[in-house]
Amino acid sequence: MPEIVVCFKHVIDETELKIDRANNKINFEGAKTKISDDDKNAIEEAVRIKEKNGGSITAVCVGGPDAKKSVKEALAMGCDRARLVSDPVFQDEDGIATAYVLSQAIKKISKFEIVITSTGTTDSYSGIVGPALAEFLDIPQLTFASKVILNGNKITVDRLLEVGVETVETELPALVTVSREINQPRFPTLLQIMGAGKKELVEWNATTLGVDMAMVGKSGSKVEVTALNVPKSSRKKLIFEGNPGESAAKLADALVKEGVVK
Amino acid sequence: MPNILIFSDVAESCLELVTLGQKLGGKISAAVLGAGDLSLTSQKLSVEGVSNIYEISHESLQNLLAGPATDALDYISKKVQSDLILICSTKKGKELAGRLAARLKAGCIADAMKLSAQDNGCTADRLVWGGNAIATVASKGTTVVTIPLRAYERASNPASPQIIKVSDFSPRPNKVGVIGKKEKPKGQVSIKDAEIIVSAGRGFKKKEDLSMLDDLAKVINGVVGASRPLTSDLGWVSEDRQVGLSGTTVKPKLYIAVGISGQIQHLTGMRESKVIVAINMDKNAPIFQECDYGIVGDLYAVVPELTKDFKAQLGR
Amino acid sequence: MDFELSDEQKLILGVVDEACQKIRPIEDRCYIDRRFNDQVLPIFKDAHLLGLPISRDYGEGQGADALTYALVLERVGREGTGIRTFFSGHVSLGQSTLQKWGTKEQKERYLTQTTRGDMVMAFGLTEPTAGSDPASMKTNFEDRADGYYLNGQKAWISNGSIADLIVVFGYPKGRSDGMCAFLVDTSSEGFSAEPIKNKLGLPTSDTALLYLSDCKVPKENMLGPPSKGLSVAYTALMSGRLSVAAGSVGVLQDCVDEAVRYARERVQHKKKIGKHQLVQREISKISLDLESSRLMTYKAASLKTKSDSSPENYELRSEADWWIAQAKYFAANASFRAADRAVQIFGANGFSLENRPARHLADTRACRIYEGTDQILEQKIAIRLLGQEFEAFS
Repeated sequence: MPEIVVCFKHVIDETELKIDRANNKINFEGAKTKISDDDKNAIEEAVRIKEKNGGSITAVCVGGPDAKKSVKEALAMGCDRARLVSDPVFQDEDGIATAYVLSQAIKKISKFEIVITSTGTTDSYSGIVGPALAEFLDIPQLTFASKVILNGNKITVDRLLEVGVETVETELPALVTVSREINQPRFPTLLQIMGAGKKELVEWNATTLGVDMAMVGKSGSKVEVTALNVPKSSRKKLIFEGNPGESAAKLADALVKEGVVK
Repeated sequence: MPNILIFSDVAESCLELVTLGQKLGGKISAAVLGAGDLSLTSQKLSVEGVSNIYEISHESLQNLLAGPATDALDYISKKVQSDLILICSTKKGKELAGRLAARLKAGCIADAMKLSAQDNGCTADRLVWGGNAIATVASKGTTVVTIPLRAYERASNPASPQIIKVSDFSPRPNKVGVIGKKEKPKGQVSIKDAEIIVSAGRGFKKKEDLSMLDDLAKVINGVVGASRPLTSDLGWVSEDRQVGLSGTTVKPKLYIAVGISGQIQHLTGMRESKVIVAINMDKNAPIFQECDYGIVGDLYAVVPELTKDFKAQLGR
Repeated sequence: MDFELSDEQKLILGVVDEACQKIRPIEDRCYIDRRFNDQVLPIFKDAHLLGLPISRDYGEGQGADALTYALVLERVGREGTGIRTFFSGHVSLGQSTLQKWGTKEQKERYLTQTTRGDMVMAFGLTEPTAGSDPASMKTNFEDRADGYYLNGQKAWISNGSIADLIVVFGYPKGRSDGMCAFLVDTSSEGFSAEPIKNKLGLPTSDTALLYLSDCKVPKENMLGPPSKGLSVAYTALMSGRLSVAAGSVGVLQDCVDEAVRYARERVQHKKKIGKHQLVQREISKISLDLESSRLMTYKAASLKTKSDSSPENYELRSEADWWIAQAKYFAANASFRAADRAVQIFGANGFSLENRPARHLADTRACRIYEGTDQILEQKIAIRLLGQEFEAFS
């Protein structure tokens, strides 16, 4: 009956961004928000572990008040309760600071045996928070999980690495970061969505958590973003249209002449 | 002159960090971690540019698990007083970086491009928003940075750096055990090293139609790759041929994208190819913004013609 | 009047949106190949969206109110009228009718599976010679000791050749009164169906001819009381019509999205065509049609929600019925106009089925015909104002 904590991020949907190449501008206006894709896999895995082994799930999210929609979605997917850590002071902090804030929230939850995160979020894909969080909680990290099995106090994880699968094992408490391949996140039903409203959603801020202010926020972060630019394309963009035979001939000609095809 | 500590779980890739370290004008120490006799690895790293090599041999480091590896790099970092810790961005490298940065209360930058060192920190560029944008970041103080593979040439001039075999390493108790390993069956060819890749996308209607790409690839000595929908979703092509954010990142001399729209997840995996060719029916497909040559047309008509033309031109 | 969507409605629309994103490339391919899209069922089944307005007492019924369900159909309609028509047949005309008129035993026997998508439903009223005049249908049944035996043909039945269970209507043999409704299991002997070919539009949707040749229906499968068939049919049409209205709003939304996108990119006479005033006029007309259709549909859906909670209230049901007729008439015609305008904005590119406006144009033509032709609805709308005694056909 493990006590599970799953951490997720409420992000702007990167597929909705309007990229203006000509003016080097990225337009965030009107872009929808979502739970970061792989974080949904993390939530799904938490729910599956609970379905197999019992226990309960606390969903934790560090975000602004607009993150409530995603928190409800996590509850609808099967988490039992949620903690939304929201404080303007946490804005613009780096991954290490976020991991620290999460560790303080989880320490406040106090009963935790399995902490689950994704390997990276769709906005910055740094992959820093999970491992840093494990360090702050002083628990082992089992990363890139494609399979998680619980046997009493023992957790076994298949890690999807470049060369193949490495199976690791440890005693709880432990932190697991999941690979996208681990599962297909479920679609919550309308009934589950309606039921989410009845589950416990508590908001915490910097004061409630008693964080060390030197470790959080923009001032407590070592890394900051100083500029955001559109990648420039220096490609030739020589496009052939019209008769396929003619286009193909022109292309083959060009590539052979350039020496790219020999 | 920054003190730079370099490490990779794959020794050959570590040589790329040497080149970068030299570019940054730093004093480079390399970490060699593992169990048993590490002299073979140290030898691989005995190249010009490396000032010294710290060897830590300990049974807990046999599989380079993040916990013990963090302890080891923590130890060496303090000895060397590193300003910058460069780690190759393999999966093991990435998971180690976050933990190490938290341990050292240092900054952490993942998948850094155009890294440059300053007086008390560094700056770098990295792809964000799914590859749609480039963020420039600045870090204060000691920073752990992961570097994408194959971004730099491997340093190769043999030299004799000082090799320090650490004897007083005592890691924290490690409770993680490796109980099994299963290697991926090796495909016939590794697309990441291919010089010419001909890649299939959703423009193809049936699995059987992919044979026209086999024909084209054969004529120009290329390898067939595919976008994610054809590998993960449809299963028409094996996953080891997947190009893209969740597959392999490739840098061939020539990349021909056939029936691929050019979604950012795919572009991220091939945009550093020397020459990119796109063949697509949709004139508005994003791939045409990222290509050197493009043909707007039906791939079913274009590809066979292209194969014929190459055959004629190359006398095959 | 608060037009804001609740968090819950936003979340369920998020689920619908994800399913729609999955079906889009498949629908694209099926449309161009002019073949049935067999992925609609599995993808929406996976998302638990096949029994949304059905009571939570049965299987995966979610008990969604009519307005929430209309919002879902609006989003589905954006993907294509063919996909939305699947829902109209399976949920609005099929399951809602069974839920309203079925016995406890019939509902338990079937709704568990239909809400899960393990069984597909259809609605068989129309015949080759009976469309706007269902009372003139020829399908008939014989009441024998071991069951009812149905004979006849049905035409233009959505989901007809993929359905497992169809609500079929017929008269007692030899009579032209006392119409009854039956739940026909399509695996029965004497039942066959074939898809109708060469349709102007809706190529990815199944529309079929049904053949009943001494088709045996067990006694316990009459739906609703004997002789109440026409009432069963008319209440079914309320749900069906609302689903068309909602789906049409979705089509209107897609037309405006496509038109705006194209006008922002296409250049003629050295400027983006969105700068041409006549193009601006077309876009504004689509938007006006969209927002009016939407408001009418939401009002109709809200009235239906009210009526569903007070089924004995005849006045309320009449009012809902009238509003649904207006919404369907308006939205269906508006969507056809919008598709036509979008095609025009696309110019020659609008003439290609590879672009969305052309498909909407072909598909929406059906919406002015099925679920009550324009002409039938015009009469219906006027009669409520004039009074029953003014009925043209009495």
